[in-house]
Amino acid sequence: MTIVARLEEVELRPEQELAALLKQALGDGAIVSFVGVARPDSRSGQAIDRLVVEPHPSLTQRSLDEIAVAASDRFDVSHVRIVHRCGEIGAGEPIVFAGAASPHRRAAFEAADYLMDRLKSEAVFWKREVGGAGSNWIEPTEADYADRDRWG
Amino acid sequence: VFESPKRHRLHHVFAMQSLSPVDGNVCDDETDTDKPQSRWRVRILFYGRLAEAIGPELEVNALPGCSVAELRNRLGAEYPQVEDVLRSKRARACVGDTLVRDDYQLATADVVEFLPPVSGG
Repeated sequence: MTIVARLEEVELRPEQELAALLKQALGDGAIVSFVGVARPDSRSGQAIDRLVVEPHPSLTQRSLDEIAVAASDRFDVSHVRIVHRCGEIGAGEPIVFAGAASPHRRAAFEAADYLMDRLKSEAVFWKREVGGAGSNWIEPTEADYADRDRWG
Repeated sequence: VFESPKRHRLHHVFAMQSLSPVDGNVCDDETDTDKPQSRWRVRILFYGRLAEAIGPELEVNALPGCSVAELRNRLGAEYPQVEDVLRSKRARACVGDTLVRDDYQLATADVVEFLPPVSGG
């Protein structure tokens, strides 16, 4: 079992994270990965140049650790990997990688789904999108909270 | 630590109110000549939209019994543009990296952090 929960301040390379997970998961039958990408437009349709993602000095890493460990405890997975960006992220750039490896596919799918549902509303970040129309704070929607709550 | 114009405005607003420990208002900047030894400065840290509106940190005077709920009320009255955030259940308060409830009563060494709703991914 390996658990990786890492905060990246400069660059996130999803292909490198997937390669690392593949290398760790020799003997497993399934790897599921998710990449979240900064969107080029807001919910209201305004063009967005970049996201600014602010972490907390200690609670952000703790939240990533806790979510990764919880996924490993809950599902029959061999490896869990979360890598999350902070700082300035241009539109189209990856903001998060969430992956899980397991002997069989169902657990890997569920673990990746669980990781993202919790990250969306529990990872300790404050995000704002910056574009031509100015700066706007992004908070979880009620749907995001409902997605998290379905896991109990 | 905090000497911006907003800090002085906060002092002014709190001093204008009739605060006393008797009616439960114990987070204030009022000069308390009766119990000068019991007052202390509580440091408050803000993040996200709260830091944008208030600044990253603030100090206010507190008296024994000052609760997180009272801090929320006082700050909300002073910064109406983020009053809804401060009063929201989704905006959590932490002391020493531990989440605390609204009825938590501050100790002299506490640093209080207010976290607006968080979002990753």
